[in-house]
Amino acid sequence: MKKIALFVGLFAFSFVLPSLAENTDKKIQSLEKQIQDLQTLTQKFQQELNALKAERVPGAPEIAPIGPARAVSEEARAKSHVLITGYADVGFRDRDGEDGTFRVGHFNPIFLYRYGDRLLAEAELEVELEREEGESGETEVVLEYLTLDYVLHDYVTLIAGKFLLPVGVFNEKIHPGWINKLPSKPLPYDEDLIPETDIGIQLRGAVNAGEAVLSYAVFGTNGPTSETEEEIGEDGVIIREEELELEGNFKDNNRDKAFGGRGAIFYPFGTFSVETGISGLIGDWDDDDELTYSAIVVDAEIHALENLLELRGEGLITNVETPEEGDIDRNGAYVQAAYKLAAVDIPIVSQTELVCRYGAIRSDEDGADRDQFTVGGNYYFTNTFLFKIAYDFNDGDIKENDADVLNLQLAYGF
Amino acid sequence: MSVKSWTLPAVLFLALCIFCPNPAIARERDGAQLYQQNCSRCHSERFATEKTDAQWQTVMLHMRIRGQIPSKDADAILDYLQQSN
Repeated sequence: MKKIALFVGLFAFSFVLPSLAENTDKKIQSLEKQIQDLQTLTQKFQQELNALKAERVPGAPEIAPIGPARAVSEEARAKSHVLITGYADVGFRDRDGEDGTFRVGHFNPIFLYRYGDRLLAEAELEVELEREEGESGETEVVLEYLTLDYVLHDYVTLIAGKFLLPVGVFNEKIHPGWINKLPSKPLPYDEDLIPETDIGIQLRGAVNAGEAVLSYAVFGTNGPTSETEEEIGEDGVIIREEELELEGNFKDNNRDKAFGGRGAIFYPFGTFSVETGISGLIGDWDDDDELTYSAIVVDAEIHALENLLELRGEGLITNVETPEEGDIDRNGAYVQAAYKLAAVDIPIVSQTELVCRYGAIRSDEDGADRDQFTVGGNYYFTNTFLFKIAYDFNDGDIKENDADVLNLQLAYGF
Repeated sequence: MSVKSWTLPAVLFLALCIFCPNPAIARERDGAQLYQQNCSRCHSERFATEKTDAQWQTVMLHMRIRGQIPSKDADAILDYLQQSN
């Protein structure tokens, strides 16, 4: 009986078995199709990624391959680190009425000594050949800045030493040769309307406010100083005149300190971004703490078209109280536009940038008014090595400020 | 259990790995966007492959201070540069 039951069971199972096998086969086929679909999708993603890489704008940062995050290196885990970076430029200048001259511009090594994540000692030297008329052409070494920086808090960094003043934007952030898009400085900065550096103490930082970034800097420094000029009057009496000297105040000449700062807001709007700021500086400059120098700078910049288009401008208002001539206003402004032709799919052209700039000075001093219109082009051999050519159309009240200038420059940031 | 019975779970696990968001990847893209947004405002982009991890750490501390980059943004940019070099 048991054998019959077993036989019947096996016989019945033999009818079920094919359908079970068929179901399994169907499942296997279904899974194989799913695997095939996933493989096709993966290949499609890889092709799109390769296409995106091929279309990458020259100079854009490379996109890391998708994968697990890797640990930082042993060297990066060390507490201290030393790095030498910097920039250099050489050039040729041909001013109307003068002989064209090859120029060794600047060699600016920057020394960075980091300890941990908070402490940084940084210094920049400027090594150049004396090239003003009457100078000997000897090598001159200037300490551009030397600071000890300590991050007190996420939003506050303490800086002490000789630093680039956070008044305006050009001196502090744009002046290096490989960053400045033209061989010359904007007119208000070329005319030294405001000081570039000073010695003192500064607090600075930045904080996110939604999509925006609010940044600030406040400082106290020795301030501008005076230089005494002596001349012999008609009756043989020596006449001493105190004149404002914006820099070189390594020994404060008065009890007053200069104070100032900058506040700015940066906002990304998706296809373009805007930053605007206001900064200023005030301090007494004479030996007797009676005469004040003050400056206010308003700045703005717009970046668009994936940073291919840059518009920037600054307006400077300065006032100097003088003993003989009363208050002297020296004001200036510039606007600059630069457009990288990276989107043009032609070799050489795609590594070119067009730049134009207009600058003006308006002053109470006789003969000081100037206008300058500059057009130029840059060719980027690499992201930080470029050739610049620019022509300054100058219009000034005096002959010296009226000469047009052709400038060529090779600049390298290392 | 047979090989065939592991196939579906393995495929599903693979699909999850491909399609579900990876926090490390999401943070890396933010670092790249922040890099474009902050660094190229002043100067041409420095390629991540130009410097080592330690050099980027020093450069980013310098740039965080000079460029006034918020600390979390600076950390994300540093992470992106160190992962991409």
